[in-house]
Amino acid sequence: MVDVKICVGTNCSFKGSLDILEYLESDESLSETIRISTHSCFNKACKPNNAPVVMVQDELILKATLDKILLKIREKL
Amino acid sequence: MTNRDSITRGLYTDVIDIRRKVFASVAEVILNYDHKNPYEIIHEISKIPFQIISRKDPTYRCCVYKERSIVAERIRLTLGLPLWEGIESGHLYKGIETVLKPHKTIELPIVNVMSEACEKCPTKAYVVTNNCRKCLAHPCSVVCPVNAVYFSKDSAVIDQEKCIKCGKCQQACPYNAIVNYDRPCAAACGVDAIKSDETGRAKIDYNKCVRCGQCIVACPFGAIADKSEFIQMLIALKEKKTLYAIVAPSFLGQFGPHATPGNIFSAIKKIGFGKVMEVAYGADIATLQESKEWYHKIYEEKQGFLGTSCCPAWVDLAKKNFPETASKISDSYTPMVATAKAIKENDPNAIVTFIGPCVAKKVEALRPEVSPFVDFVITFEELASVFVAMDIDLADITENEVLEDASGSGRNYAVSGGVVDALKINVLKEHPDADIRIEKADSLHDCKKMLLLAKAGKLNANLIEGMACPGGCVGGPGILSPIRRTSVEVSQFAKASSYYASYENPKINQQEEK
Repeated sequence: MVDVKICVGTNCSFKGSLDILEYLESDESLSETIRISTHSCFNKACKPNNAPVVMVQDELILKATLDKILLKIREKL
Repeated sequence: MTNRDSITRGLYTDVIDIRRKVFASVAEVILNYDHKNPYEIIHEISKIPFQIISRKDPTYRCCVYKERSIVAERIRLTLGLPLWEGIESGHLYKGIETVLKPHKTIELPIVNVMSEACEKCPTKAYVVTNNCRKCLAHPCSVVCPVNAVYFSKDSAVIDQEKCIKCGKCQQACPYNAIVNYDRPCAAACGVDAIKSDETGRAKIDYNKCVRCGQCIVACPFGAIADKSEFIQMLIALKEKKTLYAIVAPSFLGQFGPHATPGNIFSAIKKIGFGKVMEVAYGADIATLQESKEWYHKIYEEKQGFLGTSCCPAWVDLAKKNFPETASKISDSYTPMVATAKAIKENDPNAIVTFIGPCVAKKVEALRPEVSPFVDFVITFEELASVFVAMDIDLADITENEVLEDASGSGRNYAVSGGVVDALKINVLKEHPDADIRIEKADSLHDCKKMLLLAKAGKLNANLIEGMACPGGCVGGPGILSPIRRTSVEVSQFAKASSYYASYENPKINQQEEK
């Protein structure tokens, strides 16, 4: 299981973290391999210009995009 | 909703990224500089295209200059200005002094094609792709009833002049080499309002357009945008006017799964709003009016059916395309107007901002009978950009206001089927034996089909609900939260109200029912 922690604070939501969350949750092919959790903030890691922030296992990913996260998940498997 | 719709809608693309960056950047300029000094504002907003398109080489278009020029057009619309009409009309931000005001300044058209950004996608056609093997059997041409398929050196070709778009060739091809596609804006339009100008760029026929805004979210080049008025709202806030916010029932979950309804209301107050109210309250008023109207029209006037009134794009569709049904659409106040009216009756100095998912509401608020009540209409996306520009993070909000403006059924107005459900309960309270037959449709394509059936007398229903957006208001063009998630949260929030029926709402005084 790969842990995917998604920041859903206002900055990160505005910059697309809600869409990353929705995609990962609805992709059935991922349901067995990832454990998703949502977080209010990772110590303001999104400041000043790094939103959205996602953590895959223990790696913090700044300016996260869906393709970056999907690639990282495969890497950690 | 087709699979394709749900996929394109749920992704954070560069189109959304640029739009949101423009919103937040313009909001920041207005908040941090003197809006009474247009030169200072122009000086600052002129930097935005360079901040957003900061690379030396283009990413999306032929050159960075074009990319920046399109950002500048977006800035104009964000300020509420019309599109730039060329150098004869003056400099790029010409007219800015007219919109740096604390009151409504936007004018029609609200939905605009930015010609520069439109990449002239071909119109609806069957086209042979390079999957074609130019096979010996070539069933494509065998089944073509109009002899439109011919062969070039390497592949089959469809003569677009002859083609009648029957699709037989596509079904017959063993290599899946024939595709049927439409320009995404036109495919998203349920009223066939997207035409082409003389250069092949998309052009909106405003006689047909009902301003649902679905073309805005469908265009993969971000070439269609609506005008905003959150800049005027921010100026009113800066000038310390008495501002009220009224929030549409689809607000649930728009600011992330951790932001409770109470958090969201508190955050809106933090921007500077004196009072925040649920539009679901106005939905309860609308339900009471409309259920009386339904009984009167169906049982006393023997009218065939009554159509709901809350979605302005749906009402527009009925009026423009089915004039004979126009009189059968309810004329009660929409929830937005009912809520705003209640506020202005108590406080005539109030300035009311409707916050919702909707573009059609921006147009509704320009109507002479509505404009005295609703001062500004902004979307959830525009509100979020204000949060970002003001550095308000809902994760830091500890206040959790208690919301008790509305019934469960009023809160359910945001989802397809919610309105007729609310009406049914209220009609049955007064008239337990009433025979209510319900039909509903979401998306303009389906609304149109429903009205066609009604016109032909083939609709076995006497109460019909239309909503222009997929899934209802939760699928509006101005949302942040994925449609599925919002729908779930709307129904949870509806259950959180201590009563379900509109007639149980203690806040609505008997006067307003009449």
